[in-house]
Amino acid sequence: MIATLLTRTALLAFPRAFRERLGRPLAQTVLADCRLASGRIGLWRLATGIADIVRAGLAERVAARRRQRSRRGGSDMLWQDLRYGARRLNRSRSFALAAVGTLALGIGANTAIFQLLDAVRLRPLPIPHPRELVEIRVKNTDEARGSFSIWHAGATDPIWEQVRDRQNAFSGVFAWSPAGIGLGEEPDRRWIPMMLVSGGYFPVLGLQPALGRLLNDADDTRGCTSPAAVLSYDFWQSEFGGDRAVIGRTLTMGRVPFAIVGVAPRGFSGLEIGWRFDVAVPLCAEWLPPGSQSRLDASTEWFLVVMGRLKPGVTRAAASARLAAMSPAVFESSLRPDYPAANVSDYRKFVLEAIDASTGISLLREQYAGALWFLQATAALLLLVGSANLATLMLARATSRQHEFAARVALGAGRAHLVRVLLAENLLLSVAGAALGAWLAKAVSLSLVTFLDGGANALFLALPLDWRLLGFVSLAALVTCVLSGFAPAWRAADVAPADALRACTRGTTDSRGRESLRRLLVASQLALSLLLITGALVFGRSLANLVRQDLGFDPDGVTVGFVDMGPMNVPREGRHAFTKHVLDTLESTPGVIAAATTGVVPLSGSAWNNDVWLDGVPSPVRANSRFSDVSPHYFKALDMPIVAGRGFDDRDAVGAPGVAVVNDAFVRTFVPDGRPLGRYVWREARSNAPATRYEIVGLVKNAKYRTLRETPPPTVYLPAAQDPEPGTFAQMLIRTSLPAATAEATLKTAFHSAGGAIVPAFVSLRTQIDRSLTQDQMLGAISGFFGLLAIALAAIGLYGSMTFAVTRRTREIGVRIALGASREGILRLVLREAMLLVAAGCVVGLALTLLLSRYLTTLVYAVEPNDPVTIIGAVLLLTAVAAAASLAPALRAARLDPVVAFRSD
Amino acid sequence: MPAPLTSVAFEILVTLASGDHHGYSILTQVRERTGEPLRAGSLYRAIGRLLEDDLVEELDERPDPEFDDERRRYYRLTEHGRRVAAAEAARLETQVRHARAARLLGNRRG
Repeated sequence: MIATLLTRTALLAFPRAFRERLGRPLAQTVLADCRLASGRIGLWRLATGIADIVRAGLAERVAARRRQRSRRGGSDMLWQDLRYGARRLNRSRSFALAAVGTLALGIGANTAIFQLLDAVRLRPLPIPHPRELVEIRVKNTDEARGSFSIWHAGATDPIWEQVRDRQNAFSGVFAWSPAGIGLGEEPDRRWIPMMLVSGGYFPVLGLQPALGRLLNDADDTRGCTSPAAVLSYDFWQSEFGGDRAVIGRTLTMGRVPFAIVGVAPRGFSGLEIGWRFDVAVPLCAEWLPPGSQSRLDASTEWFLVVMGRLKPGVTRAAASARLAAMSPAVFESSLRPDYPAANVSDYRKFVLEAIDASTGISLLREQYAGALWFLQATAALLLLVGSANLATLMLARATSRQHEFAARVALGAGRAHLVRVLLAENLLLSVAGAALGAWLAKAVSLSLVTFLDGGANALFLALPLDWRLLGFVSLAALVTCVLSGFAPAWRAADVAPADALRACTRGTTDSRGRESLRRLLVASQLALSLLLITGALVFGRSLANLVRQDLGFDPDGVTVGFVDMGPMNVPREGRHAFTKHVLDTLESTPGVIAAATTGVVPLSGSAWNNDVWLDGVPSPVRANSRFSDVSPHYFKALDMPIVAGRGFDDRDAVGAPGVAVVNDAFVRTFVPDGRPLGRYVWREARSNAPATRYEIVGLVKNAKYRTLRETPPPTVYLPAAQDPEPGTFAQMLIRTSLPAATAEATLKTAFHSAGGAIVPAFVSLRTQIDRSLTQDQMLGAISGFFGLLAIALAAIGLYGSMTFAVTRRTREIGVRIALGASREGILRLVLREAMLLVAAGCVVGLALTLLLSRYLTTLVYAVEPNDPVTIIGAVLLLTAVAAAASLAPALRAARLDPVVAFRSD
Repeated sequence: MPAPLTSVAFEILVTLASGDHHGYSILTQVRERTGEPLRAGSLYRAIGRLLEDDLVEELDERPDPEFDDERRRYYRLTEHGRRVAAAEAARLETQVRHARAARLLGNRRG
């Protein structure tokens, strides 16, 4: 009995699973072995049997655990490393927070900019087979004459119809045009983005409706009087709350009722990136509202974007070749009598080409892609600085774990194992940093969009959290993990067990590799920082140059007003008089200094050009000049002094001799003797008028015309009152002494008292000019921010590194002081090392700057990227910050008490 | 990949090749054959591994008429176990032949 009990108890040494299966037979066997013998021998056998069970049980336990571990394999080890890393990081929380913060900023900045770049540059359109989509446009639009009502116009309606009927390279073609249209009735009327589409638009793109149906060829028939409309998904949601009963309802736009027939698929916002449509209507509705001038049969109205889907097997080059082959016929047949006779021979030579449209078209892209690539590069550099910074700190941490590593090596751990243990910490930091960075990026990219929009609220970019973004974030995390972790881990893991165990004192000999890695890391941080600071300074100076330059006029205090007098039905003959009445009323308002109309608001980006030449000169220069038609007080409103002759006045009306005011640049280009007054200037023939002659009656100083970056071009000002066909749309420039807050309300009241029945839109001229600086402000602000971050990181890195070096050399410094080294000597010793690092960083940074700065040339204004003043400034700034950062550790070294230093181990 | 057979495991397989046996029977047979003092604990650890690797299987408990008629658990060689044991025997034979060729063992005559 007792024997049975003892045996059973001994069985507890076995793992439970084993015991349950084989415990009983084992016990039986042991007992059977004993029972064959009797007495002492039996007892002896029982004792050894029980001992054997315990021994075998323990061995089985060990074996079972080993088997289990080998089955779970590497992942178990990784998990263990990660848990250990987490515990260590938890013990130095401030370090972990700083590291995660650094990485989050770096990864967040990169992700935000990548998100924008992806949206405007890289992401294909959300349509089936986007790679097949191409744009068909006239190659040499520079020679095209007429009105370009959209920035990307590639064709007129007659050209589009010819392409549609003749092409054989595409499975389908379509045309569209973005526009704005007034929704609803006054006074609740508001402008919504609308697009005109030919019948093929939705079928060729291969889109399916979210509701109802999409437009097709049957909707787009010439002269359609009750056109259909398709809503965008977002507009359907925001305007109709996603109501499914919206089909069949009527939408009044431009005072014309449109029948809603369907809703476009979710996520489709049109083919222009940065713009979205609310409503799509057929191209045949272009002539609406009744009474407006149709652009459909005009050869001078460039307002269409033509696109096509390549037939299977036809390459873009082959399509271009086919388009080129059919071009002569297209342009021969599409020519209409309104095209200026002088340019007809150029028109006949136009050639069509197919260009890639898989990512849509985008004004935003043309404007900002370069800047965004630059910012992406800058952000990547910042992430490099951050990683190097983290690497410095990791190296210091790892070095202080010498004893632990020595112990691990002594117990059989290899270098690879130590590296893995160290990298686990980096992995944790990188993943945490990436998660936080992705969260930051969302906010940052939204505010960047707002920034690019410049308050105009016209910019639309879809920024989804998709696999492309997740891929980017993961890549960024992986790169930082490897960059910040591998080199320090590899270096730190280089321990010989005996050496390290013996080295109970700090600062022994085996750290030479580690020291050079530490110096390399700090110097490279400084070098990259120099690069970033130089970039920031260059952009800062460029922005300052743009803002501070002499525009040739004074925009401050000027309000721009936009008025569409169409709804007021002022007859053409009465329009000049009405405009004059409005301007007079405005000028009689207290606080208003001058009010004028202009055909072109300066620096708004729009332009009006014609070829001009001087009358009565042998072989005159014939070249392009800018134009604007202005009312008499234009020059007063913009504070542009009239240098010679006169401005316009009430004499200059329809029927009176044509007169013009020109600027200095015009005189320099076209007037050989420099005396313009009394001379006559010819303006080339237009679609609605033959070549016209004007007498030059006045001279003004140069002023910027279209953009802040251009040099003032030759400009001819004509009196608006001499336009025989005044339109209904007027742009006004009003100089007031009123504070900006009240100016708009006052002007509105004055406008209404003048009989204006519609609501004018106002914006200050300064605001409008600032909007054209968006890219420069963005570059200046972001590169400045990155520059500051980089310099701060480099300073932290240098400080940490020097502190670490001083701590490691405590004993050596103590010895030096004990042997009579002066405090100044010690200070110099430490500072010399810091300054050597700064010098090395500056040399490499300078080389990089000189190498890379040429990529900035196109982005900056009136400043050389290699400008010595900027570079010297950057070097001085970096040196000053570095000196400040290394002063504290140097002073600590100098104040060291040798007695304490010796005791420090 | 299962671990190679230990010598104890091989001896168990050899024992079971002649028929089903219970633990004590295997223990005594192996002890007799090899002259080694095999311990019950080691035996059952080996049986555990063989069961896991599906080389032997457990039969229902039944009385052993040759012994005290107490109910005992019997073990039987599986098909797989038979093949593994045969392969191991062949491998050992080859090794022995090589050892003989290297004159580590005397050549038997006849």
